[in-house]
Amino acid sequence: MVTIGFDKCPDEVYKRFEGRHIISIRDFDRQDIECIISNALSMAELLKKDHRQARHLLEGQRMGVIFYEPSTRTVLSFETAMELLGGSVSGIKDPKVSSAVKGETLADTIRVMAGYFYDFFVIRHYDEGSVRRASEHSRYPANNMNEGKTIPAINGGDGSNQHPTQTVCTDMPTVVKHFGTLDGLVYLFNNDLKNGRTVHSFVEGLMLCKPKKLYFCSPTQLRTPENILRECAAHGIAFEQIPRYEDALPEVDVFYDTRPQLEREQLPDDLKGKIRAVYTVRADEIRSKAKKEMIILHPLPRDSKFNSPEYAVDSLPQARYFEQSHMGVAGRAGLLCLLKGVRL
Amino acid sequence: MTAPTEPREYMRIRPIHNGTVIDHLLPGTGLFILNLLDYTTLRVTPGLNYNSDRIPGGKKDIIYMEGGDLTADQMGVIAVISPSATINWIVDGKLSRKTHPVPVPDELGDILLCSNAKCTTNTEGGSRRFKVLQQPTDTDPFRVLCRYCEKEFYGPLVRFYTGQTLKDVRRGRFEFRR
Ligand SMILES: [Zn+2]
Repeated sequence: MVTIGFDKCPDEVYKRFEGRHIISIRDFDRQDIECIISNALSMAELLKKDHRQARHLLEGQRMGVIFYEPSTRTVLSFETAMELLGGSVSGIKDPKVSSAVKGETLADTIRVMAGYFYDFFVIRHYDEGSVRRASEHSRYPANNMNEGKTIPAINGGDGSNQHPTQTVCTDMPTVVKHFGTLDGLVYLFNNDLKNGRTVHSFVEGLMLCKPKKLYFCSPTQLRTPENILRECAAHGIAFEQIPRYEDALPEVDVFYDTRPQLEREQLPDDLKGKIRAVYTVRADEIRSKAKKEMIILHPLPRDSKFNSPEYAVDSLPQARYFEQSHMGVAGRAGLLCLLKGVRL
Repeated sequence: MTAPTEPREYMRIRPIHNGTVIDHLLPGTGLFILNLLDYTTLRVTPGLNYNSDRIPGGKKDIIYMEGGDLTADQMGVIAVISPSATINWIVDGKLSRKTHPVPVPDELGDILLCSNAKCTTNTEGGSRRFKVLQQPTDTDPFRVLCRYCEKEFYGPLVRFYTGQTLKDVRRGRFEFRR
């Protein structure tokens, strides 16, 4: 595989994205990921210079959001991205008032909405694999001049399965912005590694890279799933499961903290106490042990009950999680352009 | 002591005029595979524990289907469960084509069910697709990945649409310890 770098993207890689569905990290190769990241970084630059300059890029295009599970951050960043590009957004954000309560399948919902002149769909649904199924029906019908072409469907999270844009539009561009690469770095993933799908997606993306080492730091009950560890081994990626992060800290380049997902897992009180005591990212540890260039990422929201990273970490130079969440808007805007063949 | 040799041509071709013979199945896999065939209207004759000079142990299963052919999924499962199999197509009483080894497929479809209750193929239904991740070896059964929920299944978690699992292959290649 030829590495294309993050500053130029050849036409043939660009062309792969027109009308493409974004469902799973597993659908990407290294060039795909580099192309999305380079577009994210270009878009971030363009928006920083003058965000009003982006207004013409997808003028008149329509995004349909279909969210069957609550989300504020993901849907808002997609809406913001679409608005910045001059497009509009509408759709279903409260499943309680949608046809789902009348027993309609997601596949039927898509077939209906495909005729409402949408140019993208962003879908979050609790069933695993549901967005891939929906994408099979996501094409312009006979009432549209683009009849037969696909309407790109973007996975905004399907149960505990995939959330690919968090990885390729948000997390990875932030790493590349700081280090210029995804390779040769030491990554540490902290806290709830069992339920954190952002971690699963990120690690799957790293299978296409050459990280120096991965550390998985979690309580035994919230360990990384076996299949992910097996994949790391199969790709010859060095990894280690550790019970505390402090000792590894001096080596780490990218520290990826997560939130214990209480909505997916009933945690006993003593485990909650242990998570607070052992896995919280503490400012004094970062100050005394971490490299200055290390970056701390977190998919947010930060749960104030667990307070990790500690609020005191926010003012350290390593804290990059807000910057990371801002990258999500640029990254998604960059991806939307890519899917419509708009070059930056 | 050896059993009397069976007349091979008679055995392979005679019961069939037009159809398919699945021969050299590992002993114990014949009934499992039979269940995956659509034999509601076809005349199907299973043969169990016939003598075999090809399979170690000296026994094989065989299935004769008059008027039937196999789907890609059925052939794929035969390849995976019984790599020793040969498939013969009979036209007008003569062998017209044979396949051995039966190629292990890259994908299997509706012949499998996803074992993940939260998978859209179980909640909303629709067609199914599974990537065959690992070809079977002497000690390991195959491993499949659901195209939809992206979960991996192997061993007894690989479920067939008939409700069978690999545990139901009584003898032969797969013997699961409890
Ligand atoms: Zn599945």
